[in-house]
Amino acid sequence: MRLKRCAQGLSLLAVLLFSGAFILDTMAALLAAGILTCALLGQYLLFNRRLWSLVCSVHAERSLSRSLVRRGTTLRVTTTITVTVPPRMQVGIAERIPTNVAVQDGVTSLAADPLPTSQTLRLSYRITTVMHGTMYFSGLTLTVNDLFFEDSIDLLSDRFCGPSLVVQPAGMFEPSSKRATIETREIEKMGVLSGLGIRALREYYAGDDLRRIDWKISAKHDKLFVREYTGIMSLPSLIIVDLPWRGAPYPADEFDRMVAMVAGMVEYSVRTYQYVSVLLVSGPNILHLMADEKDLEHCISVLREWMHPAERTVHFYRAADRSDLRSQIHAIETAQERTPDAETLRFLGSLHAYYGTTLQNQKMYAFTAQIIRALSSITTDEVVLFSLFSGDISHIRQIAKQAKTAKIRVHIRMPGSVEPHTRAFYQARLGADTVEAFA
Amino acid sequence: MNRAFLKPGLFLLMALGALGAAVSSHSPAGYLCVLLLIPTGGFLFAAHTWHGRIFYLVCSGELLVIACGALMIWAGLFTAWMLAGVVLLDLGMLEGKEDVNVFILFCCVTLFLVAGMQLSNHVLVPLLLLAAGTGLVLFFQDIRNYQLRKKYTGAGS
Repeated sequence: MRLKRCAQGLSLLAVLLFSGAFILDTMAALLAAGILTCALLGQYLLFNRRLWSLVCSVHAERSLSRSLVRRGTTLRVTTTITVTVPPRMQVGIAERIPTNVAVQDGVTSLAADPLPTSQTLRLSYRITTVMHGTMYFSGLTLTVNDLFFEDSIDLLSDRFCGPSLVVQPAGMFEPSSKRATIETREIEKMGVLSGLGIRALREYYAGDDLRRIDWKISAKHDKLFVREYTGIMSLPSLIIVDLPWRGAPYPADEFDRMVAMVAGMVEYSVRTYQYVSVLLVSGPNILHLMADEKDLEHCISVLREWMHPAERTVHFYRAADRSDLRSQIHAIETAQERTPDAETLRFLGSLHAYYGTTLQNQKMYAFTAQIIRALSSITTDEVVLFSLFSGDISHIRQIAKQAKTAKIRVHIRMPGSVEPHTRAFYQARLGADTVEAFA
Repeated sequence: MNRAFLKPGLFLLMALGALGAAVSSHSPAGYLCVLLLIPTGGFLFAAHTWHGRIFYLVCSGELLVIACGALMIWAGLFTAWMLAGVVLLDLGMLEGKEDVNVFILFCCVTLFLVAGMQLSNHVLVPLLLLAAGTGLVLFFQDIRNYQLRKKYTGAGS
């Protein structure tokens, strides 16, 4: 318990009066000091009595949107607290957040006003699990103060704790045994969603589905011909939003513009195509996938919930995948052929060896695998990627690369403040079909 | 009773008590009591916008209590009661029945305290008794605090 400024002043006054009474042997000063002490003690006892009744009145019930998650997952926690606040007391209630989770947004603490009856308060916030293991919600912290005193108490008993959250590990790289499965899925995605009508006939290319060969035409022309079936031509774009990291500065006005653009595009897609798919990422962290959503209100509420700077549990910095390493090795080999200088050759040789070793051990990023899964689960022929392009763009490269692999066109939308030549550079580097500003 | 008149009423009673003590004592120190009523009344009625006004009110009021107590200890006690009433009213801490009961309890405790002081010729013994009583109350309250924390936090932190 701590004395507030008012009580500190009165205590000092009482001590001065006691000292004066003792030194001067004056009963009147002792009377004043004694009465002041009695008043302070009375307030102290009253404060503690009210604190006791307050703590006894607290009931908390906590619920998690999921109890078993993978590391990096964001989930909502809702705590309902019932409390009766005595008169003239100010009460602050704060959630004790488990270690190794990052709070994304929401309310984790609030103040309760004094009311004669019990009141129900609600804390609702979202957390992102940073580490794996079992997280335990250990309770609440109650901060109480009145005019003279303040105190805080950690409510850790069973009625304020729990539930526990089991967080399973998620690696940075995809296990090698799963790669084949992922690639198979990706190839499966490449099959065109076809209708019954035949749009055209063309020559057979290696890799085409044998079932599509038109045997009559092939026999007539003595060449293999395949049928191209009509497919769904009018597909809504998959909208991918790259949210900025909360831990670094970002251009707020550009972000607001991006949010407005995304909301407008979502609305347009729902109105035009009757559904929309939105993938929300923040760096190499997949936050939320809203696939084939038809309800515009739900779309907007999801956007409202997620469209703000997010906490990142995984960060990329110039992350190179196997194809990048292979092109680096190829560039080194080309340079080796052209360089006569022995010193440079020695340097290039060691660089070649380094890249070679890295390539042998390089696995697919978990983020890349997640992107492949997300792209394969959605039927689309183009991706519109919104990003502020602040910080590292390795994850954007991964997205663009996987989309191109799946024969999906990539359209990048970046802030208007980016110079045109920088935009052209990004377009070339990311292999995007178009790069436009959302100014 | 109209609550708006309570505060001036209590101050009036305090002033009457101080004046009564000054008149009955036939001592020049009685003038001090009358003079000390001026700052106390000033802090109570004129300094509404001052930050920490209550502290100044208590300080000037305590001087008045000492002055009245020097003339007549029971007058000092009466002044202290009135001062406590005025301060509690000003802070809005004399609103409900429980607050009034607490105030009455405070008056009873201080009555016994002053009665004890009246029996002693010197300051030392009542001062020690007061210190011991305060220590005892704080000790028992600490034990209660420990029990509360043990029950709700699992440890006496």
